[in-house]
Amino acid sequence: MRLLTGLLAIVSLPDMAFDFSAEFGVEGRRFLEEGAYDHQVDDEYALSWKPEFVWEGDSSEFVFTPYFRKDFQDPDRSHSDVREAIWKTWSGPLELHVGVSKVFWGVTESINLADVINQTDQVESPDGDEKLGQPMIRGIWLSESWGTFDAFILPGFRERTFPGEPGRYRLPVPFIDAQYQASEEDKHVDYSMRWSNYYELFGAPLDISFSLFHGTSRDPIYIVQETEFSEDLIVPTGIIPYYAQMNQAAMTLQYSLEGWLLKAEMRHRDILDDEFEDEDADAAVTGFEYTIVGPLGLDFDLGLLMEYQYDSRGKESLAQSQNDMFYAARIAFYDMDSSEILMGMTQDLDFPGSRLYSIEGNTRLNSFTTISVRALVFVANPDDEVMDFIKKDDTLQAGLTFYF
Amino acid sequence: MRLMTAVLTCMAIIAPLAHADDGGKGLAIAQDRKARDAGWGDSQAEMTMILKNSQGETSDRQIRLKSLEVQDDGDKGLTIFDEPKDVEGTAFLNFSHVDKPDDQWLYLPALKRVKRISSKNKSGPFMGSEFAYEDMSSFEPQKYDFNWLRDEPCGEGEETTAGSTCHVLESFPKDEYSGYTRQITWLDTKELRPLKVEYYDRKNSLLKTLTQSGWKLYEDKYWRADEAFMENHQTGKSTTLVTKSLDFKTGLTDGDFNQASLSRVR
Repeated sequence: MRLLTGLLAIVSLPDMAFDFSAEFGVEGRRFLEEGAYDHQVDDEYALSWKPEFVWEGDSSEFVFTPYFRKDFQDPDRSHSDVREAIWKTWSGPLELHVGVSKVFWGVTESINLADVINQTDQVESPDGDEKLGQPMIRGIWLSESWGTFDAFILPGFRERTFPGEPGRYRLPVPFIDAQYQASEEDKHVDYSMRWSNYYELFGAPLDISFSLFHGTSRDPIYIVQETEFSEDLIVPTGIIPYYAQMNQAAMTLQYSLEGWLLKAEMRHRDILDDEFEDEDADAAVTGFEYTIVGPLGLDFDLGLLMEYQYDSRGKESLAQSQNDMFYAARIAFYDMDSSEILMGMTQDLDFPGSRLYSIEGNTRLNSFTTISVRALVFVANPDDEVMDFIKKDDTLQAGLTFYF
Repeated sequence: MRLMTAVLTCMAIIAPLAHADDGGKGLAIAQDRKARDAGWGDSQAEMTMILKNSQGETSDRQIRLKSLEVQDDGDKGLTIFDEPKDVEGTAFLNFSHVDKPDDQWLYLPALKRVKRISSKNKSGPFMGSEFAYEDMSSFEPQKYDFNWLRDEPCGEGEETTAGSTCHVLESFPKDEYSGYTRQITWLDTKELRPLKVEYYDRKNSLLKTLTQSGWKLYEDKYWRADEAFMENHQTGKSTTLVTKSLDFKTGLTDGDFNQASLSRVR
C-alpha cells in the first residue's frame, strides 16, 4: 500500500499537495426471523474499503474515492463503485467540477424529495441514504447578492443496486435486467439546475432552494414479469426496474426560529411515458426539529423530530411515504467520543398496523475506530403490500470502521 | 402574602444581576479593547484541541481556524477538523453579528451535507469540548452590557503579565439564548488582553474559567494567546486549545467563507 501511495505522490502535479486516507469497515447483521422467501440467509457479514486520494492546489483539486465491498452471503451486495473521481477548479465566485461525484440536496430527516442527482445504493443501506457516484459536469456561481446557482450536465446513468436472492429487504421474486424509456438507455444525458439562498424573515434565517431536473428517473417503476407455464398457471418470475424519463421541479425550505428548525421539501414529477401516467406525483414532507440543550441539566442535547410525508399516488401505489408520520428523538452526548443515539418510528396513517421502529447509535472507540449499531423492526398491516413483503426482516446490525 | 414572598425572592435573585451604573467605564474599556485589535484583516491558525474528561483521560483534535475581519459587523470564522480521522473534513462556519444571532453552519463530509445550527443551540458544546458554540464567536462589544467592577493586581501568572494591573469587567450577554447570565473578564490595563474569563451559567453559578497564556505580539500590534485553557467546574472536564502556528494577512476573502462551498474546504 505504501508503495502505491508513493507512486501516486510522484505522479502528482508539482504545485499540488497529495493526501491519502482510507476507511476500512467490518459489518455483521442478524435477522431475527427466518426469511419469508427461499434462499434468504439469517446472518450476513461484509467487509468494505474506501481509500481517498486527494491532490490539492491553490485553485483546483482532484479527489479520487473508489469503494469496494465484499459480502460473504449475497453476491449482489458485493460490488465496487467510484464514489468520487472529480476535478474541481475555482476562480472568485465561479467553480467548475468535472468527473464523478456526489451532491446532497435536502433539509428533512425522514426522506429527501428534491435530492435527485445521485442514484441510491440500496444494498448498502435499506433507508436509501447511501448513494452511487454520478458522472457530471457542474458549474457553480456563488453570487454574493443572488445566492448560489448550480447547473449540471449528467452524462450517463447508474442503475439502482438491489439485494440478490440470499439478501433481505426484497420482494418475493428477484430483480432482473433493467429497461429504459430512452433509446440511449443508460447513456442518456440528463440536465439539472438549482438555486439556493437564505434570507432574513422576522429576524430569523430562511433557507430556500428551487431545483429542476430533466432526464432519467433515479426511482425505477417496478414491472412484474410473468411467465405463462400453462393457461391456468401464470406466475410472476421477476421484477423489471423500468427507468422512465421525467421532469421534476422541487423546493426545499428551512426556517430556523430559535430552537426550532421548521422544514419542508416538496416536488412535482411528470413521468414522460404515457403508459405510466399514474406515476406522476406531487409529494411533500414537512415538520420540525426542536433541540433542547442539556435538558434538566443532563450532559446531552435532545433533539425532537416530527415529520409528515405525503405522496399523491396514494395508498394503492408502491409509494411508501404516501401518508405517514415520522417521530424521532436524537441524543447527542457531551462526551469526547461524539456519541449519538437516534430513535425513530414511522407510522403509516393509511394502514394503522404498519410501522417501522429504528434505533441507531454510534461512538468513537479510539482515535481511529468508530462503532455503530442499529436495530430495525418492521410491523406490517396485511393490506400494506410493500411493508408485508419485508415484515420478516427485523434486523440487528453492528459495524466497526477503522480510519487510516 | 405568598405572592409578596415570591416577588421578594425574585428580586433577591435578580438584584445582584442588575447592571450597576459604572458611568460607562466598562463599555469604554470593551470598546477600547476592540478598537486596539482593529485592522488585523485575516488570519490562519493550526491548533491542537486537547479534551480531558473527569477521569483524566484525554483525546486530541487537530483543527485549523481561518478568520476574517468584517467591517461594521461581527467577524467570520471557519474551523476545519483534520483529526480524529472519522471527522476529517468536518467544517464549522460562523458569521458573527453585532445586532442579531450569529449564522452558524456545520458541514458533514460523510453525508455531503451542510447543516444550519439554530441560534438557540449556541450554548451547546463545540465538538465535545468545553468551548460552547458561542465561545467560538468573535468578541463584539455590541453583544453585551458591561459593568466595570474594579481594578486589581492580575494575580499570579507568567512574566508578561505578572505584576500588572487588571480591569475586572462584568459583561452580560444581550442574547437571551446565551448559556451564560454573565462573564467576568480580567483584562490587563496596559494591553487590554483577556487573561482570564469566568463564565456563570443560567443559574448564576460559576460554570467555567478560561485562562489564556503564552501571549505573543503579531504584526507589532495584535496580541494572541498560544494557549487557552477552559475548565468546567461543574463537570471536572477541561479543554486546552494550543496554537501551533498563526499567520496574519494571508489573503483570505469573503469567498473563502461561503456555506455553499464548504465541501471543498480542506
